[in-house]
Amino acid sequence: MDKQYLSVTALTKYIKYKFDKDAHLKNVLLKGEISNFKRHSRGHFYFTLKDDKAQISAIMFASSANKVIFRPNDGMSVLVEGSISVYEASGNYQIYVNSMSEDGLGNLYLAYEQLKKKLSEEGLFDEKHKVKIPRFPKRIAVLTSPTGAAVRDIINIVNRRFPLSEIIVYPTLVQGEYAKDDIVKNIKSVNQDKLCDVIILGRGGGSIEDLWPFNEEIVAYEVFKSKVPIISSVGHETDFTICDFVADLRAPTPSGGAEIAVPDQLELLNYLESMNNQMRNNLSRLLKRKSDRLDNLQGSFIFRDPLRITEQKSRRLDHLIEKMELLHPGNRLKQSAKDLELKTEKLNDYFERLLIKKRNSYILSINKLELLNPLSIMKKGYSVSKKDGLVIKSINDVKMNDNIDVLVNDGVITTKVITTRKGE
Amino acid sequence: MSDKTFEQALEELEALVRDLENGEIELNDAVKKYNDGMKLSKYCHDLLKDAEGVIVKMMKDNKLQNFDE
Repeated sequence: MDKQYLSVTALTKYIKYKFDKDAHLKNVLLKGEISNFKRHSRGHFYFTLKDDKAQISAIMFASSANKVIFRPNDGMSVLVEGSISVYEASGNYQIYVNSMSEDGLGNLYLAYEQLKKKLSEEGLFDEKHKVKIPRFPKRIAVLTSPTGAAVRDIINIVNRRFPLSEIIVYPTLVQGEYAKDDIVKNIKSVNQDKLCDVIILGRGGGSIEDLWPFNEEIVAYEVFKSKVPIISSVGHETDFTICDFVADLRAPTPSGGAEIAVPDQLELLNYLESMNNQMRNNLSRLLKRKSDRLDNLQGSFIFRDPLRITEQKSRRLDHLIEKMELLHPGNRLKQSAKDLELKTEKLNDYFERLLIKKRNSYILSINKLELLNPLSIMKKGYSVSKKDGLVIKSINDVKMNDNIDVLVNDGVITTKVITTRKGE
Repeated sequence: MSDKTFEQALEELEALVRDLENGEIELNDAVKKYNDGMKLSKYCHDLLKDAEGVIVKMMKDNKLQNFDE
C-alpha cells in the first residue's frame, strides 16, 4: 500500500492557510507580559508574550513599532492588537502586533498627573519665570513637522497678520518615541542659533499617545530652560499638555499660536490712524489756546480805554472835595484841599505807573505772540493806505491830488493820488 | 528713516504723541513734533502696505535653506 507523503512545506502552507482563514485569528486583542524583548536594528520588535501557563512569539514591524510611545521592556504588562499567522521558515505561529500599549487603566493619565504635580511643586509653571513675548517678532522659529497642516496654518496666519516677520522652520518630530529628543534638540538649536526671538512649538490634534512627547519630562525642562520665549500650541482647544503649563504662553491650536505671536496689521493700521488724529487734535487745541490768550489781552478794557480807571477815581475825588468844601469852610478847608491835592497827585502817579506796567506787559506778550499778530505781515512788505485816518479799501475812497498816508512797517509815507484805475 | 524697523519707528511715534499731549509744549516744538510724527506714521503704514509676504526658511542640518511647500 502506497502512502501519500506530504512535504514539510506543503503541510506548513496548509497550516498557514488554516490560520489565515480563521476570522477569530485575524483581529486578536491580547494581554500578556513581555519577555525576550529584542529591538532589531531596522526598528522591528521581536518578543514573547506570556502569562503563567502559556506563551506566544510576537513580532512588531517598524512601521507599527515607531508608534509605540513607551519603551517596552521584559516583565512589562502590555495590551496588544494583532493577527495570528505562521512563519513557515521556523514552523512557528506568532502574533503580528499592530499596536501595543501599557496595561493598567489610564497609565498615561496617571503619569501625566504625577509629572504635572512634580513640576508644579518645583515651580516650573510659576508666572515669574515666564518670558515676555516680543511685541513685533523679527523671526519666528516654528518647531513642528515640516509637512503637517500645522506649519501651513502658521505660515498663512503670520503672512496675513504681520508679513514683516520672518519664519524659520525647524523640522521636528512631534510624534513617536524619538519626538521628545528631537524637540529638546531643536529648542537647544534655536537658543544657540540666536536668529529667532520667539518659538512656536506644536502640532495638530491627535490621541493622548500622539501628543505624549509634549508631556515628557525632558521636554518640560528644556522648554523651561529656553531663553527664547516659547508659545506652546499643541493639539486642539481641549488638549492640555505639560508643555502648555511650562511654556511662556499657551495657545489652543497651532493657528492660535501664530495669532498670539504676531500683531494684526489691520489693527496696527487703525492704531496709526488714531495716533494721527490724536496729534492733529493736540496741535489744534494748542493753537486755539494761544490765540484765545491773545484775544483776551487785546480785549481787556485797560487797553481799550486806559483813562477810564483814573477818570473814575478823580471824579470821586472831585465829589469828596465838593462835600468837604460844604462841611468845612475856612482854613481847615484849605489844609484839607492841600492834602487832597497831594493825594490826588500820588494817586495819579500810582495809576500812571500801573498803566506803564500793564502796557509793558502787553508789549511783552505782543512780542511773544508776534508770529500770530496780523501786523507782522507788514514786516514782509505789505502796507496799509489811509486817508484822513480811514483805511482805503476802494478807488472810490480817493480823488485826484488827495494826500494819502501809506503805513509801512517802520513809518508813514505821505503821497499824492495821480490816477486811479479799476480792476487789475 | 529707511533703516528703521517697524518697531523702532512705531516706538518713536508713540513717544512724539505723548510729548504732544503735554499742554506746556512750545508751539514751534509742537509743530516740529507733529511733522515728524506724521512722517513716522506714514513710514510705518508704508512698511506694512509694501510688505511682499512673510519670508519662510528652514533650518536643516544646521544650514538655513529655502522652505519648499
